[in-house]
Amino acid sequence: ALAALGAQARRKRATRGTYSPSGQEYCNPRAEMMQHALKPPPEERLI
Amino acid sequence: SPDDPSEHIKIIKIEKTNEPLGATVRNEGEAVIIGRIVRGGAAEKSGLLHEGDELLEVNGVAMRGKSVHEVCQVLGALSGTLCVVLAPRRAVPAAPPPHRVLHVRAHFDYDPEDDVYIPCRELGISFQKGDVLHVISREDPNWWQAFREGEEDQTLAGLIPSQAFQHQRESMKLTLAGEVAARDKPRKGGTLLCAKKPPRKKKGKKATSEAGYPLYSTSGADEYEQEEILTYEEVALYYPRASHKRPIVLIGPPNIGRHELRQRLMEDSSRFAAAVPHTSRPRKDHEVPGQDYHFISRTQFEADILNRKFVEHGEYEKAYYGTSLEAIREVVNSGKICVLNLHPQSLKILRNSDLKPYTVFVAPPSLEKLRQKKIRNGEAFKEEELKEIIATARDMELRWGHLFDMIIINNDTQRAYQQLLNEINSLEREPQWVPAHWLKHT
Repeated sequence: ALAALGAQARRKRATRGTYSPSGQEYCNPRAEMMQHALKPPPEERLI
Repeated sequence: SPDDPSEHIKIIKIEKTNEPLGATVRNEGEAVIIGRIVRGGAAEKSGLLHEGDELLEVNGVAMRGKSVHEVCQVLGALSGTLCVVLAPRRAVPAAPPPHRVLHVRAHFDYDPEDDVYIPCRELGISFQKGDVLHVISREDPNWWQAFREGEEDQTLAGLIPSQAFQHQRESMKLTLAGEVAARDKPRKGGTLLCAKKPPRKKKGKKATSEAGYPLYSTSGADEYEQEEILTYEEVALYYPRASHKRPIVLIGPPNIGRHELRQRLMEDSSRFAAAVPHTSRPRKDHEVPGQDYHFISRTQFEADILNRKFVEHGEYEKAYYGTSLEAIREVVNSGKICVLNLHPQSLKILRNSDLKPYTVFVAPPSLEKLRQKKIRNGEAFKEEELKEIIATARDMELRWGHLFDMIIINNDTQRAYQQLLNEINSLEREPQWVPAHWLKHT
């Protein structure tokens, strides 16, 4: 089932171990405003 | 002091391979705390580590004062039997009752790399609209643990935003977008703008049937007036039954070959059939009731509309025409596959019935390919029409894309037909994920 939708390139699971703090430094106003309303949780790392 | 962790420590031994143990750590001041236990890993299987435990020492290396990144590095280099010193969390809450596995279809695209809120990016799973996810833990109300369909062989579960979290995030975005729009718009005459929603996309043109009369679906137009936030939809596996052939619904912009695809299928009349429409116009001499049309009075037709008997209906030259649920059911009961060309607005009533439709979106190719196709087929066309078709298709996909089971790009009718036929064949062999509520009443 869903062959066509499934046929869309299934992206690989996000690469493990890529810590990218830059992702948290977005400076678009929406993200900034959202951060006030919704605080990101403390970062967790996988062991 | 009661806060001194050395007063109640626990020493455990746990086997580690080159793979992670399947637990996360977070910093709380100087402390390194177990954030979550991930399903499928050694940590979960051992049952020795718990959320909230403080990690004091691993193989003699003190953990206190280390950042989670340093801890991650130390642990990553270790394998074999680890000797772990823990300060178990004080109050151990009663274990929550295990949830059954929840199967959902995602109605949005997700990439953990772009998500500032995901607690542990390494565990994030990316997925796309239409993907099926098996949710195995809902203990954290904001972050579910899940496997993506087709990747159940992964050892460790991944993290996805929970339904509640995604809903909250999206409604906040809508609110903020409304505020930004209100702020940036120059105010006229002191009118206070308090738009809570982004400006609505322009509405598509009124739906028309292939015969050219306007169509109305019985489900009411109100449903898409409200901005719907699409997150996940619970799905369940449906096993094909010989006694119930799922109706095939073709959706798409006009002039892209839907009609032709339907005709091609119907050539195999032993397998496919159309639902016999109702009409309020008088029968002509050569017409056979129940074969060409179901002929009913205008009053009866109006009553049937009110009773939501029609999936869609319209008026043409002062007579009503419509396709009823009952007419579709007749085809299903005859053991044939009903093929319907409908407007997307008509999907709602059909999906709320017991008929289990399979919806195929017949989409145009790119503008350039569409142009070449028209030239190849020797059809006259205006550039504006082509653009209109593509815009209509995009609009339909935006608004109703979550209701489509399959998308066929019709660049070449023969290929599109073959693709459609292959899919219909596999529907009769293989189980499919369908909305869970379809299976609850049967």
